[in-house]
Amino acid sequence: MEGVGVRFGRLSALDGVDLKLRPNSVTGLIGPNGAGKTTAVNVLTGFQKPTSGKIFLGSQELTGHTPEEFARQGVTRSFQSGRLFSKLSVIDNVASAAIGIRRLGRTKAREHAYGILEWIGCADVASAFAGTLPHGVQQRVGLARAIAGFPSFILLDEPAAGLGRTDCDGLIALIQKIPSKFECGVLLIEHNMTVIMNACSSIVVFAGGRRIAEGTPAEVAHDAEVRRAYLGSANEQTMAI
Amino acid sequence: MKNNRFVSSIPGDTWLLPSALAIPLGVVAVGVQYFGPPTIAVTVTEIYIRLVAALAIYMFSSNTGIISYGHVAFMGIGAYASAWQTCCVMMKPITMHGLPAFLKTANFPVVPSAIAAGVLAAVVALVASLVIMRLNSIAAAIATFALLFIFQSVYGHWDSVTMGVSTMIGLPQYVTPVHVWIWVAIAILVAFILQNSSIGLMLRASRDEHTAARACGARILKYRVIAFTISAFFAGIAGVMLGHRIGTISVATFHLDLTFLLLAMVVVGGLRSLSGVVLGVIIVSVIMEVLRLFQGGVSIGGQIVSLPAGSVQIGIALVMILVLRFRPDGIAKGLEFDVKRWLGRSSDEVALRRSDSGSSAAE
Repeated sequence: MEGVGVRFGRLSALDGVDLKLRPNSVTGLIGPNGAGKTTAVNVLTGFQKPTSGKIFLGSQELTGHTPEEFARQGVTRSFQSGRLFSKLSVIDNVASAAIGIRRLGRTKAREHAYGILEWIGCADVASAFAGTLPHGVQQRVGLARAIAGFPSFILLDEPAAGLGRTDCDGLIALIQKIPSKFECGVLLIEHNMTVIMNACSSIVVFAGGRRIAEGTPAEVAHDAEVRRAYLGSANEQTMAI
Repeated sequence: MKNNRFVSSIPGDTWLLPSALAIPLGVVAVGVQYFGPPTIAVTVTEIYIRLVAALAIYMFSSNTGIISYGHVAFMGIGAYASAWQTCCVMMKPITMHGLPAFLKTANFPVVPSAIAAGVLAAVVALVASLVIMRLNSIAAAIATFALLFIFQSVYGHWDSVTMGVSTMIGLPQYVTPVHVWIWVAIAILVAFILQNSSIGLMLRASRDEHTAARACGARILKYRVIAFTISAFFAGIAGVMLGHRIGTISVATFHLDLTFLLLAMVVVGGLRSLSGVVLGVIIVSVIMEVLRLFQGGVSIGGQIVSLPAGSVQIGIALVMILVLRFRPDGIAKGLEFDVKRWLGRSSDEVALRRSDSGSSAAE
């Protein structure tokens, strides 16, 4: 996305931000609360129309398209709060992405979905209603649903939020394998610095609706402005946890 | 609590569930039509007509999660459309002089007329849904309610075509239990196919999580319009059956009383399964008939016991409230009859059965 700005009334959530996702790699997006990370995901999936700026997928401009069109063009996402279809079975949750995006038939979509659930380690709950699952499993199913739509880019909005250490490590290990396994680029929003440093090949840092740094994990970790942004909001971070 | 008679809806055993629901109803229809007393035949016919109407509401509301208060309007549209084609050829030029010439001077066979009437209801629904289905949940439900009042107003005042609020008499009374049952069977089949189709799945996804469904590429408006249009066709058919059962129609028939009754049936049985809606119609109808009997006065041990007028409505309302309080997902709890289990077949979908069907997900 190029020079994207989003304003909610007088509040500027994103202010002329450039963000480029690389195919077949995991890009991390970090920043203090209110930095505009989720807004960026919303813009990149059509849920939020930018006030200014443009969005491209390859050479194709997608600015102003609906979320359905973004999904069908190959940009899928997960949600911070999971947002599973609670009264559908897990397998139908995942299959629905393949049906909605690729128009697969029900049987083919379910086979496709089952494969992804096996890979992600949730095949044993395929027939359970999604709403009855524990939080950690729901996050995984949300990830599976984002993968099932044959995406070229997957945007993950804090998939590890609220997970215990073991669950979290397992999930991150899976996310790292997504680019090679499913041939797509990943944007990972995450608060946990250890996680993001290990999982991503490059990292973008937002603060106050602007991009303040970009680079390899090592470069970003030593960037003076990033340290200032994080130290400046250290109290807020603690409280958010 | 285990409840083994029901399993969550499973595609694959395509013909078993609709067959298990439709065939017993068909046996009953044949039985009462050819061997039963006429009063029972009338009662069964009425129950089956309500079943077609409730199935129509179910087709739309269960998949979309939007309660429709407007389907009775489509019943009215169907009933009038069929009357225009089949009723009282001698009187039509005078009482309904605003009708187009081809309707005014001729009558058509009843079955094609019924289908044409259903199609008219569907076309009206198609146009209306292009606007209404852009709304969500409560707003959409209220908009369907508005449809009912638009219908009431238009048909109640369009004297030259509908005879206004007057009762139209002389519709051919061709409706028998078996005749309605054929429509019941078709409606069960269509509802089953719809809920197991891709459209049904995507609609139920959007029902649970509108935002996430869009992220899955669901064209929610399009799917809702399709479901609403199909369901309005069957509502139209139910209206046709109702008109031709009694032989008379008036706009007052297609108003709040009938809307309430049908919604009570759908709620009592459970909006989330086909088995539930069939059960709901039968149970509420039976309660209604019993109360109606007592309202008329029953002799018990030499004493005449009779309930005050209006007891039927109050009884149904109470049943509905009790079900909402103690079994909010309806009597069937959103699950379907486990037909294969009854037939004693071990089936490969055992893995798909809910381990604990008693605990429904918290809303």
